Amino acid sequence: MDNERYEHRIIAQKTVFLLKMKGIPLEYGFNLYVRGPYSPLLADHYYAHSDDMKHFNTTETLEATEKESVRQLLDLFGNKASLLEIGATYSYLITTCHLSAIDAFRTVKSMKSFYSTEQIVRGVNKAKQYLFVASVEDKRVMDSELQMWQRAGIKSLWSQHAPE
Amino acid sequence: MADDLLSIIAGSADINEKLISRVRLEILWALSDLREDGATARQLKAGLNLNDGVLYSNLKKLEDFGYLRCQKTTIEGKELELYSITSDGITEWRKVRTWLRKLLGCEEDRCDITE
Repeated sequence: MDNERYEHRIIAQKTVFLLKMKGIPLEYGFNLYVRGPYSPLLADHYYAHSDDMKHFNTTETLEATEKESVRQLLDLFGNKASLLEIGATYSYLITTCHLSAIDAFRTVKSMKSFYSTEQIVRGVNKAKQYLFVASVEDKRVMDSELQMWQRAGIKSLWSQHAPE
Repeated sequence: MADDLLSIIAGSADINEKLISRVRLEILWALSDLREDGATARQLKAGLNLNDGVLYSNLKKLEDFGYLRCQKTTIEGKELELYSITSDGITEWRKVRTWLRKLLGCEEDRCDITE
């Protein structure tokens, strides 16, 4: 990370926020600003340790589950500042402001109106994929919906290939 | 009340009165915690729900006062304007915030604004 670059600072802030949401114990407190979730303490740290940040010097080691959380985040967001900014803002609105999914989406659209709707949908979906853990009830609802679609698919196949 | 009156009047002489505008206060408030990290003009515009004319005229004024600085930055290949608060801006923001809190009868984190 090069803290001279604004894009890198956005990526650092949103990455740390999403990792914290994923359950990695990090000391930074976040509040909502015009940039989305932001931690002044984290900013203090990357300015104070700019060389260590640049060369990824650290004495800390991650546990296997934490490494997996980092890997998933990189796979999903690909270090893209726009997706991280949208995804982190959406997650903050859901987890900290307790907005409903639809209200959180509307608020992100208004707060990040400089991004296209397509970018916002992608960022929100990435955040959901990363943080959403399906409960037994969620799985039951999804299964019943899937079964409905499967039945409809089989019925449509059958009607196309059935002997006249 | 007499003490408050004297200290509010004394404090007001020390404040840049051109800063007492909703938009200018909102911009300084939004940038005060972000310090040198700042925010882009488009983040300020969307986040504070301002139109281009209002945003840029007030950013220009705050820059002229020496409270903000503007730099060019690039994000995902797009060149953007990044605004951050200066040390003079932080000093002025603290001064005006202290004065407003006194005016509103705030103590610690509570404000006496029930009437």
